[in-house]
Amino acid sequence: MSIMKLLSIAAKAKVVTRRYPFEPPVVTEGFRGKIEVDPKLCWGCGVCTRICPPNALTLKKREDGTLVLSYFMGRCIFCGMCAEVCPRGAITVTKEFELASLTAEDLVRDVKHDVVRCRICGRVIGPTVEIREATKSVGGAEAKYYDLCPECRKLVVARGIMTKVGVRP
Amino acid sequence: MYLEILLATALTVAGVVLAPIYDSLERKIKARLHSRVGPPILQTWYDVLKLLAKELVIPEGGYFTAAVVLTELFLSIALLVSVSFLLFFQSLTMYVLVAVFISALSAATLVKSVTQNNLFSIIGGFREYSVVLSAEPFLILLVLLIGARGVTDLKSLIGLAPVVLTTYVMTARIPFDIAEAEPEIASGIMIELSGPLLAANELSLLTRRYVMAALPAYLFLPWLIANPLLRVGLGLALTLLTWVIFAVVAVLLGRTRAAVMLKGTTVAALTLTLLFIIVESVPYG
Amino acid sequence: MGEQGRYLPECPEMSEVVRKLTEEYGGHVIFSRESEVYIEVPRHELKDVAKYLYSSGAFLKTCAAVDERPLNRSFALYHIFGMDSKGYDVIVKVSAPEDDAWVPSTVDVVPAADWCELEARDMVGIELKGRRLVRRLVLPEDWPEDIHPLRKEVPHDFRPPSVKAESEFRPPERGIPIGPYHPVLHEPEYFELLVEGETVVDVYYRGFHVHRGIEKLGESPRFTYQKIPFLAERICGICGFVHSTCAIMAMEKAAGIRPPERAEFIRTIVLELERIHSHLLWVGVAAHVLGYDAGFMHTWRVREPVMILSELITGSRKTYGLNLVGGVRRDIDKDKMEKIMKTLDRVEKEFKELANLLVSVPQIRRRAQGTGVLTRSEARALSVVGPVARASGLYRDVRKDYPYLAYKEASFKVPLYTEGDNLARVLVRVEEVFESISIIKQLLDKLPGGPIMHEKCSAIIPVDELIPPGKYAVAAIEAPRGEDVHFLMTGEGRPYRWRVRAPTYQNIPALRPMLRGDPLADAPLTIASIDPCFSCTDRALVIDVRTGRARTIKLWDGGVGTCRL
Ligand code: SF4
Ligand code: SF4
Repeated sequence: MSIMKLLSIAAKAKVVTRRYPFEPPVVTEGFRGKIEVDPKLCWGCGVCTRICPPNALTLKKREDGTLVLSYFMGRCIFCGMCAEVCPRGAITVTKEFELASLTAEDLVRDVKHDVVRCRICGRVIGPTVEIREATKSVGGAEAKYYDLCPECRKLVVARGIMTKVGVRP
Repeated sequence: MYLEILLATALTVAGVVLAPIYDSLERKIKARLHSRVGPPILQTWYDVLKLLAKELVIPEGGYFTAAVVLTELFLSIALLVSVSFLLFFQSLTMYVLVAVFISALSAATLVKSVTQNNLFSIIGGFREYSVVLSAEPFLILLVLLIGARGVTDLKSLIGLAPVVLTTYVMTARIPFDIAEAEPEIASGIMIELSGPLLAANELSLLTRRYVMAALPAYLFLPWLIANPLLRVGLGLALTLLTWVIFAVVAVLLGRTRAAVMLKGTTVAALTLTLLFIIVESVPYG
Repeated sequence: MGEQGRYLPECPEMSEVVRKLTEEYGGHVIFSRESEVYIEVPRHELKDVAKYLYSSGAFLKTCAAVDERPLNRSFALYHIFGMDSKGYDVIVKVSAPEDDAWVPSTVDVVPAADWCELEARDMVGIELKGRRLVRRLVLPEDWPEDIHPLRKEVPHDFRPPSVKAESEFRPPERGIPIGPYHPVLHEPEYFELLVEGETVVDVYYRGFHVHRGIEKLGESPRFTYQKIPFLAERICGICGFVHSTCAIMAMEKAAGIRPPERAEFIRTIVLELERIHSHLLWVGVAAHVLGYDAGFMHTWRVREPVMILSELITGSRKTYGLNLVGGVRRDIDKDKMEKIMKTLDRVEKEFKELANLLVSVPQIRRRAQGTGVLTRSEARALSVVGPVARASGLYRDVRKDYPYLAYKEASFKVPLYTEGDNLARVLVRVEEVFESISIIKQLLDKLPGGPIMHEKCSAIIPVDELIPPGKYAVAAIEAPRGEDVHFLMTGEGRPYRWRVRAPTYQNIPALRPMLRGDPLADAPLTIASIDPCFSCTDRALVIDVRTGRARTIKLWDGGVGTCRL
């Protein structure tokens, strides 16, 4: 009887299910799990937040003047787009997927950034690291204005020129 | 006499304890044939205990269903008792008792399904009715025939065929699980049951399965084996064997349709029973 | 809008169609591309035009309603007719001024237009003239009368208050409920079977319980062309790649770019992998429905390596995230190629053995044969798609009729059965698995070199500038369940209108003829036999999850939306 073939099929296939979670999960080398943001590399530029399809990465301004790059795994679709676009290579895609947790807070990873405020008007100009690094690469005279917002910078420069020329501002 | 009563009682207790274990074993066999790891050998007991620990919810349709479920459990154990005693006491009364309990148990199952105020359960009930109708009359007839005439020689063993067929049908295994048919009628006759009631239902179903696995051996053994201890040993072993065979058969087949089944099984059971009667009535030599 | 009159007829019959529509029915061509022509006809001619097209061999792919009031103060309805035999789409547009918003119904002449017309009425608020049965299809009963979610003034995150439905529609008799939650339906959907004894005599259907508003979301500022592939992929949990590829194909058409050849090959390979795992999944479920769990478990065991392979190639077992406008994100290298070949050989061998076993199980054969019959003429009238069509003797396959991506490069056959029963649908799918395996092998052999991403696109470059507003595009893909259609009208940086028509949308109406007269026991198999995917079907619009929750769905409480199929 042909239905008996099942017995030979089963004998050949042996047992294929695993005693997960008592055995490690099988994940291929191509697998994309949660991401990790390296706080040392991240500048807080926010490029990743603009590409993230489900808005799992967000850039938030806190009251205390810090800028927070917040990663919420609960929304993440593990597409890895953020890692692809990050100009600093700060994001790595891990193979970790066992993320279940009892509280939503466990699913949040924050990277805090100090911000530079304009020394004259006090407006937030941008994340400290980004501005410091950017200034470094520009160098020269620009560097001394790194902590001024564009408006105040214009004023200061104009005032400097006027003083030089001898016109009283 | 006392020894026999003692042995029969022990067999009954063994049946109640073993039924869920055999069920786990069946699940294990099934899993193996599915290439799965499968559950541990006490899984069904764990399940039953867990269900017992849940809150009691009386199904829609009132307390009557609950009462019938418990009656069913009582009847299945009563059937187990009578079948266990059958191994040692072969008076016709014993056989009549077994037949009565088989029939009462089926009746309880039917009543259970129609008391639930649920369409799926009622459909399940009708299906159960067709299953019972196609096998039970023959099984009862066979039990009574063997009881009345006894098994006089080896050619009577031909009666095993209709007995095995009808007992298999009565276990409500695939392809005959249409009264439950989860993908079709969402567990049909059991749809309203949960918690302790479901546990009771499970236990009575498993006890019934145990009895059905035991019946082929218990009907014929007493006439063939004289030593009571040997009878018990063989009875236990053959019950396990039958259960395992039933389990494998269930994996190999799919679920049938009510109309198809009623005809096919009835014809097969009828033919085999008639064959047995003819063989039995041919005079010796 | 569009390149007026730049229509270059390639085949004479097509130019005949265009001539007829423009000269006899007073239409004018508003836009055209190699295989699509968009013709606007006066609305009073619509019924005649539809009749003419449908009787001259066109299938109705779907119709899409668009709120064009911000552009030209009227609503529009686009009927997408597919001339399968010519590989050509004729899109017929009719407009309805905003203060007189009606279009004639075409259901009498094109039965397949039933659902999409009702959807146009629900979503955009276009009234249908000359229709006998008008009822809600998509919107729930407690949705306010005058709010049409796809109108532009309705914000994408709008949650209307729940209103008590006034007219209550109840089925006349008490039937057997299948759903909204039922073991055989893996998603909430509601069928009600009216039975006599064990025989089904009629069917009621109520769906769209899992409408997620994806189309509206795609038009909202939340999304850009760059992100939409990821959203589209989530329309379906099984054929997600079909949707993301289809949406992307529409966007690429609108942008006028073609991805590099290698990318097209990779997309095709992944599409076929998806078909294999989808069909294997379905065969397993069918076995389970018939109580043959051994078949279920072993088919899924055979399927598992395909899932692992998908993860290896794309990064995920499902929702691959592989597609971007302009190409794909991951290449297939030598090592992966070998693994694909090895896995496919194994799947082929094991599934062959298993398929033989499955059809030899007496209960499967007996119950699948002769049940759930859909005749060829019913199939034609409803424009059903995919394996359902091919099991009823209707030769339809987008891969052959409108060759896209790399399908021209592979030779394969399209299994065709004429019985139209459940067994035929099983066999079509079983054979398709082997065809897909052969397609992948052929394509891997021929895989061309070169880049996998168009030079103008990448993850970093926003593609949004590449896609100018005011373009149309229709893209279709042969999904495992049949033809999947995406209609796109471009806007500023995101779609102006994005209409998704999943295959099941086209096939559910066929369930009624299939179920009638059959044993109740086989109804779940028949429902399963169209391989229904309800989230796909329900994909679009209703923003609101909350009303759905607040409303208690009583089994007999059909409400306005309950409909006779
Ligand atoms: S992770 Fe990268 S892209 Fe994101 S904010 Fe940091 S530096 Fe910018
Ligand atoms: S992996 Fe995708 S979804 Fe997750 S944070 Fe990165 S871009 Fe967002």
